[in-house]
Amino acid sequence: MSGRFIIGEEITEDLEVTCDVCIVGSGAGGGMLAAELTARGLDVVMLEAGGYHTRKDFDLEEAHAYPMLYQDRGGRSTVDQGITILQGRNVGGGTTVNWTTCFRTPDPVLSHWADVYGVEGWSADELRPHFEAVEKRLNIGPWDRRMANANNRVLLDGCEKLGWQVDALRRNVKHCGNTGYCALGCPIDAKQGMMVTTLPEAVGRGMRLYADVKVERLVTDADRVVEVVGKVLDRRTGRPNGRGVVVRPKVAVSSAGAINSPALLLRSGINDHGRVGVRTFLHPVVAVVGLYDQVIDGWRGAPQSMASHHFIDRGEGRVGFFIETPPMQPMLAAGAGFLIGRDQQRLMSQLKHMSALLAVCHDGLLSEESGGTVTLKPDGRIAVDYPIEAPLQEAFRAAHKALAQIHLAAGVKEARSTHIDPISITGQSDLPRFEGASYGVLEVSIFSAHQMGGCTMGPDPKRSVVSSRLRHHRLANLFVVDGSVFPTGVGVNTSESIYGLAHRAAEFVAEGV
Amino acid sequence: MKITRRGMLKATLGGVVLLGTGGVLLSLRGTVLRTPRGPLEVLDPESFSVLAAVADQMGPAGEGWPSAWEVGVPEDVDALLAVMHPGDAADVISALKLLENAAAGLVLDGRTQTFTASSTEEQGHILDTWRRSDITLRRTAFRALHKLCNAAYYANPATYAMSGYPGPPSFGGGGG
Repeated sequence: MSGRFIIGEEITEDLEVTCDVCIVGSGAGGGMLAAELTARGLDVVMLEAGGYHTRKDFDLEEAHAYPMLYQDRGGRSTVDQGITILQGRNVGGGTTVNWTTCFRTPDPVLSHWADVYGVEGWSADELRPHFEAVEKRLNIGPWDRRMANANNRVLLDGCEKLGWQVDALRRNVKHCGNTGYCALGCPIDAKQGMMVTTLPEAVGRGMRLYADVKVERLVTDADRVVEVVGKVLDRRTGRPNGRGVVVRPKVAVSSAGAINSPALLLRSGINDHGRVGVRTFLHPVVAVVGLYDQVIDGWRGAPQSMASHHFIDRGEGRVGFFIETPPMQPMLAAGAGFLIGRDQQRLMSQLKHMSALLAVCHDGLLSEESGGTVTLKPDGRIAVDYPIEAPLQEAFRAAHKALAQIHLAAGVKEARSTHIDPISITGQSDLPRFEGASYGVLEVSIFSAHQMGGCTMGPDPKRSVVSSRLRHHRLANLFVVDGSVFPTGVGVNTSESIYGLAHRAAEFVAEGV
Repeated sequence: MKITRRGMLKATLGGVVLLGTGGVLLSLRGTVLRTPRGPLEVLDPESFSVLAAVADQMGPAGEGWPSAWEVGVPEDVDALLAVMHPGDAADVISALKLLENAAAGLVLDGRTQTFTASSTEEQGHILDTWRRSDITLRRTAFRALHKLCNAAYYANPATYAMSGYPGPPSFGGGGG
């Protein structure tokens, strides 16, 4: 079989194909899985709703990149608009637009999954060879501290002065030009995302990858998926163009990502025990902006190269968080907060001197945390609902204090929260102001760049959607291979956890053929 | 008493439709229309005009900044809505119509003018009221409009200089 990238406009008539494995989604899960399955000699067809874009398409303008490369044209959010959700939608998925940060799934999280959710076969020892393999394949390695941009330097210097844990993180890049535009598509193919690594490899071994094909449903017969049914989308409008694709595979894999994998199962009527879409975790993020005398130019240089895990374990009953930095192009920066008009303009006029620190909250570990839900609206749209419960609100407040302290230690002129009425911090004596702040929905700006859960793994069909070998509990030839199978948030940036998961899952999927 | 997020009337942007339906028929004053600089793809003339007024509140002219209208934010948002799910565009239009609706404004805020017929200062006050509203639906609608207008305004190269942003470096990519 001759492999190829095929875009929607090349599909000029309804298409019916057969294969060993049909993978829905081309991101961290699907991309890594495809490389491993084709290496085993399997005939793989991949369907991706997003477009096929290369560096030649990346002009690094936010107004073009977000609609082109992100879910819902960059507008994905929870139903109440309380959490802005950044999630990739293109050939390569999130790996095309992520900020390149890589961590292995922490050992305590893997132990928690085994102890609390009965997950088997995912210990640190069992995963180690898989992480080692993907780290080699994707050139994952530590970033040089001396290369930290000014925004990351704030995090590094501030934490070191406070005596808090901080270190350079690892990135999946090769010959990185330190451009600072990771979120808008790497212009020099330095980022080792799926689009420049595993997908071309898999296509070279015969995979047919159809871009612009949105999978509508999985057709089942008794205990098997018999068809994967999709519609071809017009690239410009995003609307179905009238052509259809039907794949009849021996094995079907949903790698559409957390949020979209549960949505696909729901559209297909696959929800045996009501577990699909529940326990969705978003690693909710809050920020504190710092205004400095010196130039920061936070749009320049690797956007995320330092991390502090000083507060990841805050003791029993508390949600932990880790601290990183975002890119600082103007549209993303303007999205943090609720300011209107002249207030917003005056803040944005200081963008050159603006640093931002993020606290990423590790959700899902507490017994009282149920996370969010993914459901379908009557018109088929996906609805993500995520309550901001008391433990998270407590974590947001603690995080804001910590972020402000880092800014102060780094010499900030003024640190500001992203509340409707920003809390202004110019010295230690201002920190108690956070005590009176509200952290409910739409009272403070909240983001998510990490989506997990919704098709969780585990041994009990009444508590999970797939087994520990990622096979659906009832449908023998359906697997889910993406972040949706994680029983909780992972507590670090998600990409390497998904790469490792997919690398390991290849064995399970291949056995199913 | 604050209407909670988990209250009887669930807060979704789609829920705005329910809140706005009755009031549309009771609108007291007409919309002050603005003329788009090209054919609209999704918005009707009334919702376009409300959006234009909202956008100018988000990005007003002055202190060296161009207005959102000057840089084409309303048309850019219309173009974006055209490639989003039709349901998303319908939700945004519902939010705009609710904002414009004088009857709903009269009942909830005591205002007698439509949004577009209100003074610039009054429009700012109305948006601030929505931003802080005890009615989560209003905060949801505000946030949606805030995101759309802010994104289109600050991602527009005509505002880069005022942000001190030099624009992206060129590697020859072509915008897909």
